[in-house]
Amino acid sequence: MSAEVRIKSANPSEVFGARRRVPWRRQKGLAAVLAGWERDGLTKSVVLDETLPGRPAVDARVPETLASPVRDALATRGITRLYAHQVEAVRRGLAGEDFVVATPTASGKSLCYNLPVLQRLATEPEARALYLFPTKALSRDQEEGLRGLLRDAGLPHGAITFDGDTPGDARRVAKERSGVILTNPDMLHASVLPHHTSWARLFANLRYVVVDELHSYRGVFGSHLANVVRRLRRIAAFHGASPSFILASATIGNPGPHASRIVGREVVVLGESGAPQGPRRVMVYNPPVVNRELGLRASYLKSAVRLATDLVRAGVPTLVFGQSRNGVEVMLKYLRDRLTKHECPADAIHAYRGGYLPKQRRAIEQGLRSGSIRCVVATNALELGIDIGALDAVVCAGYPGTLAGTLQRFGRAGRREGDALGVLVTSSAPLDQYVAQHPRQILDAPVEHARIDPDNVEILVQHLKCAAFELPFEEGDRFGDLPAEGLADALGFLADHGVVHPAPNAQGTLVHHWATEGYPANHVSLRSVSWDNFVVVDLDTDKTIAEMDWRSTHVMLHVQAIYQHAGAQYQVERLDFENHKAFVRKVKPDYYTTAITHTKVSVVEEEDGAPLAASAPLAAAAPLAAATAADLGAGSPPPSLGAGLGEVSVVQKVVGYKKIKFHTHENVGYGDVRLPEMQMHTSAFWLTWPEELVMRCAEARSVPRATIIDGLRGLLATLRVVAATGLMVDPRDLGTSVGDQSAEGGAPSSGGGGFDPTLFLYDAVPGGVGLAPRLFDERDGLLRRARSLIERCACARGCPACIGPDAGLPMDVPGLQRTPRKALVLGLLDDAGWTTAH
Amino acid sequence: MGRLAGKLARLGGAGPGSRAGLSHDERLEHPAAADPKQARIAALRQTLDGMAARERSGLRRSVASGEADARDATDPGDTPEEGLRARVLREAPALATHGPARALPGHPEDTRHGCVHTVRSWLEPHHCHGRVPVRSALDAASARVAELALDPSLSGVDLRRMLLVDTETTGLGTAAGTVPFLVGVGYFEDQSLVVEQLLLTRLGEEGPLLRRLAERIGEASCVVSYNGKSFDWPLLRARFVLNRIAAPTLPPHLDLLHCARRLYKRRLARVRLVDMEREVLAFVREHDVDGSEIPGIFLHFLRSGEPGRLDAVIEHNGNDLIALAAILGELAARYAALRRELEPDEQLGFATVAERAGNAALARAFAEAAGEGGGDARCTADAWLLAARLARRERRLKDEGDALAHALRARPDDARVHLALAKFHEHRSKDLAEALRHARHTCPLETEAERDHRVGRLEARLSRRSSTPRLPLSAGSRS
Repeated sequence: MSAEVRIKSANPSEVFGARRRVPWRRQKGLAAVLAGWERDGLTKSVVLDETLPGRPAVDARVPETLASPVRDALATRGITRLYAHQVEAVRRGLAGEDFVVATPTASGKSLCYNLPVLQRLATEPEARALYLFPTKALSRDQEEGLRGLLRDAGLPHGAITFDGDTPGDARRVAKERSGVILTNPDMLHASVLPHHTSWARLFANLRYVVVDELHSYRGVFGSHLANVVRRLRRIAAFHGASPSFILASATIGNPGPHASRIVGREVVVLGESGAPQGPRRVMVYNPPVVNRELGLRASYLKSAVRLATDLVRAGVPTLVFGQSRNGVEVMLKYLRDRLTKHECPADAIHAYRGGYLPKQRRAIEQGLRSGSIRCVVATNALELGIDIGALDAVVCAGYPGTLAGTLQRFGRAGRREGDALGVLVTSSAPLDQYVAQHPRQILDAPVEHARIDPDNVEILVQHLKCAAFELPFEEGDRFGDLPAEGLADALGFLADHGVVHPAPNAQGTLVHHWATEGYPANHVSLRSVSWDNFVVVDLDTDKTIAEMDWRSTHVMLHVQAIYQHAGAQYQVERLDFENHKAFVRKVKPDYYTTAITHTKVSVVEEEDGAPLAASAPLAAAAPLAAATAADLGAGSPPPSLGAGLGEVSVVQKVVGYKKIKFHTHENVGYGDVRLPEMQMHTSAFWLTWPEELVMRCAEARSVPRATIIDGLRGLLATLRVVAATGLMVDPRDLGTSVGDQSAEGGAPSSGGGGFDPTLFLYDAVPGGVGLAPRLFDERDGLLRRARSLIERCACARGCPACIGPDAGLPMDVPGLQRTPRKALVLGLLDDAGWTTAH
Repeated sequence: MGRLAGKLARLGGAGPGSRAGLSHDERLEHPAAADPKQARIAALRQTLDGMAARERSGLRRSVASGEADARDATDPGDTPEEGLRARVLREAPALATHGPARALPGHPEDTRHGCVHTVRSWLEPHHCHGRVPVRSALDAASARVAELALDPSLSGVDLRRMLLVDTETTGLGTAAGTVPFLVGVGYFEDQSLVVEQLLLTRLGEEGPLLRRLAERIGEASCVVSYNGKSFDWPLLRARFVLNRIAAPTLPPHLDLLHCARRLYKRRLARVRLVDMEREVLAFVREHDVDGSEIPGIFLHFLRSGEPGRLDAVIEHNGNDLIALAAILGELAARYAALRRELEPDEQLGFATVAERAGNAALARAFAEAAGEGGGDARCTADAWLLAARLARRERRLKDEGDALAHALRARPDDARVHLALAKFHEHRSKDLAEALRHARHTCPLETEAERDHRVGRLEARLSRRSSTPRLPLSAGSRS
């Protein structure tokens, strides 16, 4: 107010308003930043610079088919026109068709499902809709927006989030009155479906099921969801409803097929976005080599900070993505350190990641929308569709590991009009360096597919039990798209085990009833991570400053760890494991800490084993193997590989931590950590490479044993790729480890005898979900396909698509000739008898 | 044991919330557990063969026999030790410990809804459950019962038409898969109690049973149960929905668990039906079937067709119904008029309920009886505090002072007594000095700040007017 008065008193109309021309004035805007990079020679490190063309808006008037209260609600928001894909969504939605919206980030996907639902509620007051989100935070976000829409449309229906935090009275409202229930698959599975009789009103009037963030339901988690959907459709049918499915997905390679598998019937894809998009410049920045001898490159974190600093300084709203929570906090600190108050006040730069409390996250989202926040440093939390629209520039520190992930991050750059920039800063990790060597793949390579296998036997059987508990199976009933014969067999199997009890009903039809005590859903967890969390308490203020999931707690909140939060550093003084609390105190250290973890797989019980012999005569006939055998004095045939299946314990333990100095990234010390180990029992498939074979191979090729082990790691990477594809799971559903078979697993002894390197592929889910047994079953094909994949891969030395990238680091030991890794892996297979002949 | 079968067994097991399962010893008796490893490997091979054979569904009938329904309550991801043990200790579906074959009580009865297997028995008017005649339930006055239940809708109901309801189920919880396989109802015909137990002999034949039940409920003036509000009725309602039968509108529902809890929580650590049976009816069951065994007994009957110990379950359920009637009669009788022979904490329980129900006269009688009964200090103090509260509401100044004095004598350090006395003397007896004396001892009932505030106020008032109190009621001994 007073400032306004002062300006008035200066009588602005009489003074020249334009800014003075001064030599130190900074150029604002993206173009200026790019020119600056050119001038400073940064572009020399840019290995890809492409401009993707923009596209104009394709829109139409809000369709007349929408009821006037719905149109009014849109008008209140200033929406008089809809994008083409939204119009299409409304049309299909009202026609009751299933469809998946697979348009880019910030193209208005929420309206695609909200409009049909609103329309239905406006015309059919009793109608109900169920929204599924992968996280609690997301449903809370959407609840707010949806309530606003309902209010503006004058619809009395509530929208309510139903999850573990919903209080009792709100639960009753949810069951009886709410028009829209927002929940997560876990809650639907464990609470709503088993108690469907008390949700009769919801199910009887269920018109739409909305599944947002479809791309996050991959692999085992996705297979679980598909089965939960089968159960949901069955229960809805019992109560007389047949809801339509509306799904929304970020960039994946196969939105249509994926959605169809989740729903269990054909789903139409709406993939053409009608939202306008300005041209977007995509760059890959590979930090320059700073130490030629060691092949070291400049820090990708600092390089990313450098680029982001320039952008923020020039007033370009910027989003910086980091790979880890620690990385995010370090970059936040550096950004704040580098930018003066004048250039950008500290509170205009924020971090945004999982551990933040909901309130802080809301404030950051609000700040981004209002423009008071100019830069956000985030983990992939932002990927999960939190509605902040798009910014002008995205800096991605490190390759996210998948093309889909990269595109989802880049999708955040791009206003409706005007230029935008997406830049990927590659780290020195082999995968990142591979991307830097082949940057065009970011634009050209096919995007990863989301794979699920709803008919995975173990997952299916678990859900069949839940389904039988919810409602008996009558002969002729179906379970989603599971073939009738498969269902009959599975029910027969359950009946044989007394889990269900077949009895004819009055009409003589056989009905399978749940006939066991207990509550099967309690024993089925849809995800391998729990909701369990720790809170971080500031000892000086006694306030909770953050929360942390159980697993990350080990890594980030061990005693003496430096916990970084919103640009401040805290030291963990006490970790109360029992009560799930970490007590921290604010400190100003010149270092941060990273935990050193150690993973070990050991066999608890071998359930099956078989020599994995490529049939002996063929192996002998194979030229290379024969040559090797000859080299080694022939006579004795090469020992065959061993395949095994069994229960393993996967132990992860944080054994210590490193202190890393800020800015220089020097290692300035170590510390011990004493924490209980994280143990998981699961099933594993393993491949044992007899020590004799390893030694023969090493001698024949004159390479050290370590090189052979590295080659086996490469082979393991291939096996994982082949296995994930074959099993239709996400690669992350399979854990890998190279170890030996001894129970105690001491240090690998290179002196022959005892240590047979063993490649483990295990179900990354406690208890296992039947992946390893199938791999054991398919062991021959697995190895054959791996061999064929490596052979056919177009790369010369190994790439992420086959054995993993050749690190390109000097591993040569003086006096020994370096064998390209790919050739080595093929040679290893030859020696074991797995030649092309198969 | 097959991996898949193992998973099945684990999933088929009782959840953490279910009744306790078999002991591990019993499981070990099963032959399948004799060489678990061999069996596992054999079954695993079979399962794997099956998976390979069918590309898509991958399912086949496993011939791995004799396992399922393992009752380990461990989660796959729990502790590894338990997970392992659970895998080794898998057992057969049937309970291994069934006695010689016994006949199934009751007979199929044709109703207009279809056939329902019914066990019916008549209890003569003089039949006693423990020391209490069952027909005493008929003597209860509905107004008193309404007070006991704190439910005005019960006032005026014709208790002669009450329906006692109790179910036996395949599990705890009210989710869709739990089946009430034995629905027992009890009603009076004249002075005789008819116990009618409806047994499900085949899954999927609940229709006639539920319709019969709905009929009984429709004829009743009220429903009497033990924990029926949160268990039996929600479960039955779910069954009506699942069988697409309109659930009957429930008449006023008297849940005796709630009454028992209010009356006896001071006296009994637990107030299960059997605890109440022992406490108020002096009835101790012999050879009663353990509740945790009931689901297994029924499931065995279902799978094998042999009644096994189902008769014991039916007897158990029948006893529950009879106990309901007797407990109702006895509680109503004890509440109707003060009886000196009751224990003081029992009297106090009735006083508390009467106070909440707004029956001040009865509350006063019970409270004073409890206070004078010579119970422990806590009970005596509580009783006199209650009496004082009643006196204050009725402005019986002297009674209030006397009651508080009794309370103080019972528990000289009780902050509640001091607070009550501080207020009494400040506002009613106007003995500020006495009020101040007590006001200093009100923590931790009050926060220190609250206490200091009260003390400060009293000191200020005292210094303003140092007049003597109008009534010489500063201590119990002087009254």
